[in-house]
Amino acid sequence: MSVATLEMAADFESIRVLGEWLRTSMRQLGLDATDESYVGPIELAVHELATNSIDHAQADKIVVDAAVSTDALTIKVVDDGSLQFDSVQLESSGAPTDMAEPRVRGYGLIIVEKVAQSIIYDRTDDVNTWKLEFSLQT
Amino acid sequence: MESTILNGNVGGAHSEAGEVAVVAIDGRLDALEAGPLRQMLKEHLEIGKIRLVVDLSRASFIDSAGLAALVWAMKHARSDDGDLRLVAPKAAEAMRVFELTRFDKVFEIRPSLDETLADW
Amino acid sequence: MSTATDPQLDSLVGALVEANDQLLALYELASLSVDTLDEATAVVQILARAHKLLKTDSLALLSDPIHLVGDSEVFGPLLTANDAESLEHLRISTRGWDTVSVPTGWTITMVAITAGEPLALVAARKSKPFGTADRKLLNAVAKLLASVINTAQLHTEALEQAVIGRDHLIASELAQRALPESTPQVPGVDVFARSDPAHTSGGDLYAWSVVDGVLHFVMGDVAGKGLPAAITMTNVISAANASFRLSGSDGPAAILASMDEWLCESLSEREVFVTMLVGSYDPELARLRVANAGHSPVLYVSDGDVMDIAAHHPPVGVLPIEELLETTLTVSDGDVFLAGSDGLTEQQDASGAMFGDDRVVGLASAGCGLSAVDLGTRIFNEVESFAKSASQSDDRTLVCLTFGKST
Repeated sequence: MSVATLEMAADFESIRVLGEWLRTSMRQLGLDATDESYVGPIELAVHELATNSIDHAQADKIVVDAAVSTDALTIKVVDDGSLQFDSVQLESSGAPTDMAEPRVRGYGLIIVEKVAQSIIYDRTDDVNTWKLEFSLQT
Repeated sequence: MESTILNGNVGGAHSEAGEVAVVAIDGRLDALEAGPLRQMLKEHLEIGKIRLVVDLSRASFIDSAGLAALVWAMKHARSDDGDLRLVAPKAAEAMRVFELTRFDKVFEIRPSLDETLADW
Repeated sequence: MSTATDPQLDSLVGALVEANDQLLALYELASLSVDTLDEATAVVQILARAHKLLKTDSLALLSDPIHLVGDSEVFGPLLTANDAESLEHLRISTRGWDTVSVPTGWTITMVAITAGEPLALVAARKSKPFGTADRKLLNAVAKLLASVINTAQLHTEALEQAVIGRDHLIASELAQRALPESTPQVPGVDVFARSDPAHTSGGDLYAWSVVDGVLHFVMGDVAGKGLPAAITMTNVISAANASFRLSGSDGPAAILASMDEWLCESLSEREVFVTMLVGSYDPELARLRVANAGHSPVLYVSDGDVMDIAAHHPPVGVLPIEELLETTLTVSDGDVFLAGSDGLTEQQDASGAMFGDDRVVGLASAGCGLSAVDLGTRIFNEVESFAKSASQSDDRTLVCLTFGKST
């Protein structure tokens, strides 16, 4: 099981390196990084988690890990934010009763849900750990 | 750092319905750019420019923050009897966020600016 | 009071504290205002909160995707299996839930959730087994998750409905735009064409082309409503325009056969058929040729006599057209040709009676001398006033040709 690691400062500018790093890592891990239909959604999902760490966890540092096993590509996003996921009260869109109305916020995790096979969250030792598992390319 | 929103280049265009304001994105539309974009679109709406086009043809990456700004402006434009339409990004990756959230069906998205203005 | 510990008192206090803890836990869970969050965030927040309250080592919602809070290692095999397998593996009972003892000293408990598809909430704890109070809390969590997921599904359905509704509107608008805007200018004939679609459907069509001085026209009715019908309608118009040019000189039956060839693949794929009427009017020869593929009513009025032009072929998309059959008519001054869609003849009034073919025939024969526009408009008006309060059931389309040297 091989691993690639990236450390970033928790700001929107710094996390822009994710895409490039992901493609390089996937290549190193033996996956086809040129397949945009596979890589694209994964980049988006991981980027969404990193953005959430900045937006909601009050993090200073974000560390991303990528590993490949026999059945999955696992990407871990760890932030040192003081706020845990359930303690964060997110803003509402202001129109919760209208079913057909598109919500203005909160599409990040919805995107992650559509792309990942499993979403694991843990809060231990003052860090937030998100682990996403993606099926391997067919 | 340069913004990916073409500075000051809020183009004017014409459709059958009237004046259309065009904002183009060149590069990433993520959390950094979403705020300024929303602000720009908000200012347009406030002065009565209810027909807006965001030209995403040169957008390279769009995430949920970018989407949120577009959705916000679209909702407000539509409630003012206008609309916010999009020119599709040439990069397939940039369309992903719309497809995953099904917003590709909610927005009017056309392949070119001309086609976007065509039946308005 | 004795300062020595009283085991009975201790256990009573312990139970009270635990009950109080559980109450507080429920309160904390309920205070999560999840209804305004997006569903994905709500699910993770509920799980994270419950995980803390129950002091589980791992808490997972077995859905697609799997949501898990805590230690993922304990559920190792579950994460790679699909839902049906994992539920099978832990022998979930559909009535409620099961507690399964796992050899490693963990206790795993599951709650079945019905939210569209069967889901499961699975909790694992090493420190102590799940007691009654824990199970009650887990049930509450499961119910909360179910309601969030149900809301999400409702939201998706509503959005899809809105999208489909919009699609229909767009398709219908596109389809209407495909219809010719101006009437053709051909000597000796006056053309009227109008289509009033019912709500957002769009299946009726007409098109024409003047090729080498000959006016070719088609009128059709795509079976079905909504998006697929509207798409087919635009396909048919494209096929017609091409066929007018390719086969026009061979007459309407040839045009029909050409269109059939053009469309047969896409029509059979969609299991859609189109009733069609193709006509060619040659002003130099004062000759009208008509090929009818299942369309009705198709009428020719000459000197007060009304001739019903019956179908020569079945609708297009049913069978390939092999025999080229058509009707040839010599046109005289004052003659009228009418092709309407069944949205006219089948329009019902409030009592359920239909407008019927006879009324159209009556209007046609009485319409001698009227211009195409006047006759056509009159027919529409009659259908409209016949319907009165009854709603329009289908697309109403009419193509009317009046012949005469004066036109």
